[in-house]
Amino acid sequence: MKGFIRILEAIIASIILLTSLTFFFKTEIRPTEWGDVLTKTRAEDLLYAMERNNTLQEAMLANDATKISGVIAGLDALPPAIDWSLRIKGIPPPFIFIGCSCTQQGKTDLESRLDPLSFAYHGRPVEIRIQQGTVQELISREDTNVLLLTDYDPNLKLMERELNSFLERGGTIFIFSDLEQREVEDGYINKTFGLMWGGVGSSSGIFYSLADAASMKIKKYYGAVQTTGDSTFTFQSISLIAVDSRTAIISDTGQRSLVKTNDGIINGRGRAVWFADYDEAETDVNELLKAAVMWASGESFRLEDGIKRITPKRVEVSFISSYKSGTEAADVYEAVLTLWNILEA
Amino acid sequence: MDIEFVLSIIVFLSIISFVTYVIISNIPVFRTEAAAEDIRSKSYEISQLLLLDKGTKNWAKDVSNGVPLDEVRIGLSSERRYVLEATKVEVLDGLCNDAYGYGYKDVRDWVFGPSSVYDVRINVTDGIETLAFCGPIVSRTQRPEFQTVRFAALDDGRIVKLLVSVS
Repeated sequence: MKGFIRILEAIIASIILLTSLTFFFKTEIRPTEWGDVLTKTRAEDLLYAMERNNTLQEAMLANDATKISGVIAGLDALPPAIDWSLRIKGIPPPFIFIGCSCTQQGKTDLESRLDPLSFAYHGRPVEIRIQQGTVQELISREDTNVLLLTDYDPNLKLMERELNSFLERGGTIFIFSDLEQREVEDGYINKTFGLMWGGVGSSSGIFYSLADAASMKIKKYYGAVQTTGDSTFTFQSISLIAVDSRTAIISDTGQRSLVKTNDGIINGRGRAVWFADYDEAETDVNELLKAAVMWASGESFRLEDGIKRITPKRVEVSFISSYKSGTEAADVYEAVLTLWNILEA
Repeated sequence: MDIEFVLSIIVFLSIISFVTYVIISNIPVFRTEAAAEDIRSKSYEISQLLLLDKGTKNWAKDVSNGVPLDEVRIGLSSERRYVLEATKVEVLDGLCNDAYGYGYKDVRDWVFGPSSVYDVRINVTDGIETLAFCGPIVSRTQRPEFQTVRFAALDDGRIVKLLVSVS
């Protein structure tokens, strides 16, 4: 009996040993990342090659994505299951869709101030399209770049969730109206637009030299679209908005904002512009308004055939370059090429 | 002999055999994977050199002028990153097709070294025609092969696809 127990012990011990050894000696080969590396390399190569032979610049200038898809198809550059999308950042899109929450008269007035709605910016055609509707309708549209309000809307706070979702998608809320102190301090305007009551001084404004990048961009756009050569702007505003680094136009006495921006509002995305009221006859301020709309466009657009749904698992490469059209000054942009597997959608 | 002693010997030998079997059976899998990694990295490395390196000074000029060369680092790049010189691509094609007194074997030796067992195939195309081809006349089809696909612009404005296969 004693011997039998010993044999049983030996068998149990050997089973334990074999089981533990199986754990330590199992074949484990971690999958390599060559697939992702080669897809990323392809994307980077294509982007650089198209930039080097000017395909990218030509496609951008003509807003013609077929030039890019032509190169990709001609070289059989991507496997059939891989789709692409190209985003251009840092310059205004070819079409700026303004959703105007205003009356028909308000829309006509806006069109008149932004006239001509089709114009060239550094050799690229840009067109402003204005659509009239309610705030709810306009922010639910995929193509709305800018939600423009020509008057204070007390319901904005009630629609905060929807508006935040619009901002998170990269949209811009633009208020082109004078605001009273209670309107500024309604809990939404001050938070989203970064406005603070407390400015003093005249309604004559100049570019704020100590401002952040947004103000510099508006100044650059104004330089490209202006026809008057003016750099002092006359507003007719009762809003006394304090000055900070987001002030784009400051009163010439230096104590009041007349145009103010904010960006990165929701998760680093979304922009807001407040533009004080002025007389429509002021051509230079009309052009300043157009420059502010160009910045408000989000300065980002997709150059591709049709609307594509990008999957969360994707490969993205980008680089910063510049384009030049004829004798126009060069402009800097960032190109982001995204590749993804359509079978993983 | 005691039965317990016999049994313990059997258990001991079984464990030793099992461990040896597991280790030996893993070796081919690891070797195959290591070999695949090796040709992947070689293929990528060669594509990087061809695309982004200018190569040995004046190599294309020397080859086309019939200057005898012991070793050449072939690079197709121009002064500008991602822009290839069309003349270098043309010389590469001639180099592999015995146009300048050299052949594929010389190119292979320059790329891998004379004692290497690897084969390389380089193909440059603009999507319409093949601008350069460099590869063995007879392919060893049984061997694993890995291909790297790259793109660049030519200095004459075309965009080309560069395929580098190593087997």
